[in-house]
Amino acid sequence: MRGSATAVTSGRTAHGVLGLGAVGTLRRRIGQGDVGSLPIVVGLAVIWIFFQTQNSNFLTPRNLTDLLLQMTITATVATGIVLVLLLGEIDLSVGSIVGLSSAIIGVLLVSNHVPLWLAVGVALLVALAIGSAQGAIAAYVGVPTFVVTLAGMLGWLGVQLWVLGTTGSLNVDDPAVTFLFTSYLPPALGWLAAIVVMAAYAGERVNSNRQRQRLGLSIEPWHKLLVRPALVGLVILIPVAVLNTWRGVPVAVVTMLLLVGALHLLLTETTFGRHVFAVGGNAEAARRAGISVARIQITIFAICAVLAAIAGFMSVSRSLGASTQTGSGTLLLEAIAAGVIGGTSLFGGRGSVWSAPLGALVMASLANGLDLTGQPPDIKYVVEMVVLLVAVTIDAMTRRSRARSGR
Amino acid sequence: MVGFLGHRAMKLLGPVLVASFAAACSSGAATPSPAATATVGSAAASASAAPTSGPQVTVSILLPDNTTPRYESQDKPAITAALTKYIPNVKVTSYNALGDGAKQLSQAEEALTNGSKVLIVIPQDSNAAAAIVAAAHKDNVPVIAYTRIINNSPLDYFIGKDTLTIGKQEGQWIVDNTNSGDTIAVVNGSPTDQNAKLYNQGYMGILQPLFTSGERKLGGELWTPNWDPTSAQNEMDQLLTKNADNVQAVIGPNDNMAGGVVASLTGKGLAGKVKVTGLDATVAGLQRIMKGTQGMTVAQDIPTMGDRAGKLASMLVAGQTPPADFFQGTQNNGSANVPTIFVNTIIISKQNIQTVIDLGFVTKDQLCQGIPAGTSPC
Repeated sequence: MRGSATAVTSGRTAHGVLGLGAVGTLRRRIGQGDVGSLPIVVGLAVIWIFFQTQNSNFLTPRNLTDLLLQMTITATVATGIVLVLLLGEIDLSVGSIVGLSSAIIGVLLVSNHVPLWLAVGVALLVALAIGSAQGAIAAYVGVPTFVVTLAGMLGWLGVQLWVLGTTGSLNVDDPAVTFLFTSYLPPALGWLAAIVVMAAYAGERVNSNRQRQRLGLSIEPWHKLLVRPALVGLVILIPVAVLNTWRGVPVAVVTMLLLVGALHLLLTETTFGRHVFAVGGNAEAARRAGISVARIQITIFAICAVLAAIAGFMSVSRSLGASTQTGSGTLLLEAIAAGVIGGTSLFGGRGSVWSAPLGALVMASLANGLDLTGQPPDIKYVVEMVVLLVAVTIDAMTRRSRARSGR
Repeated sequence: MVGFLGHRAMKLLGPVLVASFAAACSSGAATPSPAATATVGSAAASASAAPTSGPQVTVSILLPDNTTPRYESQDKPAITAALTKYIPNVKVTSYNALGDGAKQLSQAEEALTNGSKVLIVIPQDSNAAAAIVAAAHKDNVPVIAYTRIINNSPLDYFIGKDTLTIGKQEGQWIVDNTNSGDTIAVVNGSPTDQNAKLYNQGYMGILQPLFTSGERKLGGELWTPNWDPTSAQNEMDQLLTKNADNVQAVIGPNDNMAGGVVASLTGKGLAGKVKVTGLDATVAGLQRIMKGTQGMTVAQDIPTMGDRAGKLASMLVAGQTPPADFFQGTQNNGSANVPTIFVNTIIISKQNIQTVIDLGFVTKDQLCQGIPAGTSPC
């Protein structure tokens, strides 16, 4: 904590509360390799400004709505991947689970005329079983998750093809399914949701400050306490304002954000969450501290698989059907890249579930912008390579400076 | 947690391996090839028919993958039926390369070792499969390439659709179904697939002169890695944004991608108003035609294709040279003019959708699944 003293003193100067204080904190955090989502936000801004100068349609409310819908499925899968990355593990089977669950939902709905809740329920249960089994094999047998889930990636694709049978693709246009990707919150409801989130966040901060005060811990002054909720408020209110000028906030995006928010609370507010970070930081130390590493691992892999199944349902809703190609292609790769680009460490123990939607937004922005400007596919691949390399380089470099500063 | 260091190294390596893995599998609708399931096709499908007591003759079918349903479910039965019909005492063995070109070569070698007299090959990789032709010719076994040609090799025969002509048909259909001044968006197939480029040559050959003269407007052109429907949907979103929804027709080069294009149009309330082309006559594609959200698809006459393959193989097994009029012409594969049987393709639109049932491409039950009763022809 070498830098913190200077940060506090400079924070006392008149204009420094937001200015110098923040800069000092930032410098300290960069020095210690704790940059979080900062590079990604800067990167996103650069990408957006660049594409806006190339094509004036890019930052229109309409295209931003498309962009958010385009990244929702990847972000949902990536959220599961981030959880797994936090343990320092990997799950390669998520793409195939997306495909399998979309196939199950599609076939049950169209061929067997099963009610929607049952079809989705079956898909979620299957995913839960798959995730738990993969986690258990890794935890109890000691097979690396890379191999277990690689096997899963092949096997569940096989089951997906079997479920779809000879026709290979089917259409689903049941309004109850397509609702998710064709509906938008009414403007007033969008505003209300944004304000509720802001108020809840501010309330939570005030509350934890009171608790700290009761326990005799250091507390943050009021003006600092509310800076972050205000910033978060801007991050929520501006998009809502923009989206409301087109069709409103897409229901699919809200659903994805609710999932991410719930998992964020699980990770940061519960003992379970603390254990996840402990296991990811050092599994052996966590085990000696009495944490059941196996239980954590199985639970996380189960959550990851269920998220993939939810993404499978989303995929049926968005593409109006299921096919042998659902979940194949680059989805797995994009989900992993999204987590890493979003700032979750590949080395375990460091990161946030919010890096999933952030990273997915970067990937989707690139694809969207390159399409809008009519770029050929060779350019697309190369650009994605560069962005991914930059992201992992930042991860590796910050890890080294963390090691240097002894954190 | 065993082997701490090794474990860490694994974590580091993981994503890198994934990346290379995904890259290796990125061309075509390929399945990564699990060694464990390598012989699924060969073991299960070894059908024999030996009603009379003559010596058995082995003919082998080599399929490229199992993610494209038609190979296992339509082509293999059609070829097998024809072989059984034309060659008494035939023993048909079939192999599925599960998306792996190298595996297909070793399967071909296995077939030759087992004394196969003719290889009917759908190459997984049109270029790498030249090694299959070389291996077969060493044993004086002729090779028939089926649906996809084998490039740069002394290939014996080719039976397939005329990709370029289909592309032209798609382009002509778009011209016939749009008006002067209309905007046409082009969503191409996979940039790594030779067929996608031939389709593109076909429809752009028809459309480009109209774009140049201003009779039609090009609303943008994008390529879709892996023929991925999700990418096609995103691309269509962008093309609509770019043209402020002023798009009257879309070239969607196959039915799966047309599905993505239609999903994008649905999101903008334009489905059914914009003409979309397709290819392959998948059930999902045909159903969209019935609903009016997709304009057309192209059906291949797979039963006839299988029949011609069987007939040709029977002549080769008997040591006969097939007569010149057995072929419709030749196709240049880069090193030879290969005698070629072009199989008929039929444009299917709302008016003639009954044809696909009449010709046995799909059953009425398949076609009408999930379709409200009363929609023609259900």
